[in-house]
Amino acid sequence: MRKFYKEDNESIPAIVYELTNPIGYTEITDNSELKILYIGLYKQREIDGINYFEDFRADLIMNIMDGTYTDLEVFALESHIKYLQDEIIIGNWLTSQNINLNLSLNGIYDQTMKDKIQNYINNYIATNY
Amino acid sequence: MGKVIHIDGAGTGGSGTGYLTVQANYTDLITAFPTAPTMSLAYVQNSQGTAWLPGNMGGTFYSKGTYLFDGANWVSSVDDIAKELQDILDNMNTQNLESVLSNGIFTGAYNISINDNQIITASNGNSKINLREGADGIIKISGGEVDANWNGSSFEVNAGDFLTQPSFSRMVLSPLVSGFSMIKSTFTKFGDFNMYNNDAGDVSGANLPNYISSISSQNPTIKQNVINSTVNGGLNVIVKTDNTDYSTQNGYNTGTAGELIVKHTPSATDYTQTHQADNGDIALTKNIAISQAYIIQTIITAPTITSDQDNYSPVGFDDDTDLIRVDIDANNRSISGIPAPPLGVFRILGIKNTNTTSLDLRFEHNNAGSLPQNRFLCRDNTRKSIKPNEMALWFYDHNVQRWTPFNRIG
Repeated sequence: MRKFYKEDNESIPAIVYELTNPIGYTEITDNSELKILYIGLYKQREIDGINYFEDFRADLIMNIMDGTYTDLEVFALESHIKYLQDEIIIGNWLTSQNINLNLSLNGIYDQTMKDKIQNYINNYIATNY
Repeated sequence: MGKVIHIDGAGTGGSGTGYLTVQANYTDLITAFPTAPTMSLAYVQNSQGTAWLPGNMGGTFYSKGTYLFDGANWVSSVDDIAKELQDILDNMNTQNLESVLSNGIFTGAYNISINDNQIITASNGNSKINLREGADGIIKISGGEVDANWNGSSFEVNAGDFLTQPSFSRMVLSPLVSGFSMIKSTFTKFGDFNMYNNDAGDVSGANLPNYISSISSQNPTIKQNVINSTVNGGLNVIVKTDNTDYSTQNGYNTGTAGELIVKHTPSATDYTQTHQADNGDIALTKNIAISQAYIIQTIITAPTITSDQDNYSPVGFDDDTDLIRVDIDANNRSISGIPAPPLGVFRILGIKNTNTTSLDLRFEHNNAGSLPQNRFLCRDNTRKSIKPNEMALWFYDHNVQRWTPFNRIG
């Protein structure tokens, strides 16, 4: 799990969120400072989640346009993955990871789609958590 | 030689000689003029001799008055002539001849000349030297002075008149002079036009009732020392600060309608303000600080970013770059820092995302990937991205030694 570390000997120190303590940095342990950092961190995760959702949705629309899916199939998909969608767009990637892992297959939400979504979420968590 | 008295009309008839001389007494007359042209007249101021002693007793008497040279002697026994002439003289003030310059009387074609160190003076404060209207009245001074050195005096050149300089060596208006008035008049050239005030031996200014179109000088420097004064022309204007008054504005006539007025905060020390040269260049001796303005002059198009960038300095980037146009090959390619400007140099730098799809360009907040002084400080203390066609403007804040947002970024 990553932690916040503050750059040493700098008037405006850089803050990094890393798995291990980098050289020249000190772990931040002050709770009030950490809270602010986590708020900022999740704002970025929220932005990333929105971006991923918009990208996913655009692909669905294009699939409708090229006939890969019907609009009814996409409507059904949206209903099925709504809970997953809501968690992603607010930046709860860990929650989304768990939701998708336990979500049953349905309609065009087949194993391929499920794995694709899962891989993206896993990769994001590995890079940012 | 004694005085010569001319009487109007004298010499127009007879011998035409007029009075030859005036002598104190008869003896002086015959001594000075033992002979003279026949019918010459002379005047003896005092009688001489004893009047009551007969001649056969050794007495001689010569009356004062007019004498006539009859060809051999000076005689006063030509009673008619002598009496007539004596009557004329008796009615004349030989000591105070009316000035030929009195009202209505003029010398005609003759000049008035005075010798060295002589003065034409006025006896009271209302005296004037009047040059009559319609005449070509000129006061011409060659190598001399026009002195106005008493309190309340003035040197006036009225409408339609001219004050010419061809032979002017100097015009001195001493400290007590109340003013130098030129009413709708013109003066062609002055070598030096100086006005001195009571406070310092410095130029106080030319106060003309109408607007001054220009003050030109062969000397490229014009000095001004009066608050709210204006000056046109010249190359350099020296603003003096050694008096309580000093220039606060300079005005330019551009040759077209309107003016450009430049006001500046008075300086504590003297300085030279250079104005526009013939080629249009304006040389500034100090920097111009402009707040809330961003001027784009130099734009570069950087190579497409294909990896995250630290201390980003693309090809063509230098201290004069105002805007970097850059594309990216993947979403959220990031820049963690850009080389900072030198200390004391204010700089605003724009970075524009020129991607034509939907890829975002990201700026890392205070990221250790770049040198501390090259980093960005972003809003919310977190990384920010700009979308295609957006431009991030960064202002380098030397107080914190970081690039800070000049506009809203992300």
